[in-house]
Amino acid sequence: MKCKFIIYRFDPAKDTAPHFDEYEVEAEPSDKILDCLNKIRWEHDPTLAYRFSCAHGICGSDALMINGRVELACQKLVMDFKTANNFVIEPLPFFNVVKDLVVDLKPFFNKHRRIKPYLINPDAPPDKERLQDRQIQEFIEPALRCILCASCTASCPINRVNENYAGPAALLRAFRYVFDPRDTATDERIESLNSEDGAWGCRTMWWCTDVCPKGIPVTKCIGQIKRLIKEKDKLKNALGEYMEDKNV
Amino acid sequence: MEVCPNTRTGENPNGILGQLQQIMMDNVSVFRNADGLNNALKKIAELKDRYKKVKVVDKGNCFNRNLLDVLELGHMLELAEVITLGALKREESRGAHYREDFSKRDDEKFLHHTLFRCSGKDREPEYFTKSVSITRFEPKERKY
Repeated sequence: MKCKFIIYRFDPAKDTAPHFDEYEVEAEPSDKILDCLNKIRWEHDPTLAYRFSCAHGICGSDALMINGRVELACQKLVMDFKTANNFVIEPLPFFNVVKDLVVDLKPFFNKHRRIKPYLINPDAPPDKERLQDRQIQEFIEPALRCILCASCTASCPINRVNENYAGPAALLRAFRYVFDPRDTATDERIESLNSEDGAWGCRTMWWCTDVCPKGIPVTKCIGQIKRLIKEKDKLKNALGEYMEDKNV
Repeated sequence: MEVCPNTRTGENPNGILGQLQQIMMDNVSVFRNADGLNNALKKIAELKDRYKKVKVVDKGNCFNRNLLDVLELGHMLELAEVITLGALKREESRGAHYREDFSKRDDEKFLHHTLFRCSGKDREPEYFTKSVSITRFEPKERKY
């Protein structure tokens, strides 16, 4: 079955502006979009640049804009699209294009690093392991499924107006540590998330949840951070009032 | 770009890659025998010859997927050769290595790691072995 692919091309060494190239590929309905890209690279144009690694939705390398929606090329099949076997492939929005379908993800990973995506606990590790409560594990489990493909952050409208906004992926990771009782830096984490660049940047637009290829309820997780911030605020205010009363 | 000089005017890497996949699938899967393995070795040698003339179309130095493909294919060919040689040396069956012509496990001869070194000038693989340190799990016969 013939499929038409219209692909965004840009080589900074040669081009001053991006353009679209058209390719025709022989594909099965059950072929992945990534298979088709590989075919184009092997049969038509070996210079086509795009990222991929595992080809099974684990590594998160091949998030692309496919027919106007952010998807993993390795998770979507030709038959998933009702576009009469026509496909428009573009790089992830929001990020700068390095070449063809490859974008510069440095800003994404910088934001990720900013929320300190690691366990903070000054206590000496116990002999075996730091045990995790099962219910809490279940609560934060969705966030553990994140493969850092940047689909959510690329789709988030807030991300486009406020470049300092941490973005859904980083906040999701923050959610995971904020609610993990083994992490002792909860207060500092909450403090740094309590701003327009942190959890309050989120305007609950659900785009991140909508595009997430792993089906993570990203928006809800960010909502949990907001709720925790509010609860801590309430506690602090109550404590303040109590102290004031006592002084009077 | 020095690894793959411009003077090469041969074929694209994908043709060789496809054939290598087919050879390995047909002859060097879980079920193997001397005939198939020798056949595979012969064909891999032919592909290695063809690889010497493989061409890099993309001359750019930014995210050069084409160059990466060519480099990867070179390593794949070397690995394929070494895997096949190892399977040929191991005249027994063990785990996911099943020799149709030697269906029993043979601890006397083969309770060791099979290793290869490609250190010479012509990068010919050189066979050697290393003893196994058995810790928690003793090797046992497969009964399923």
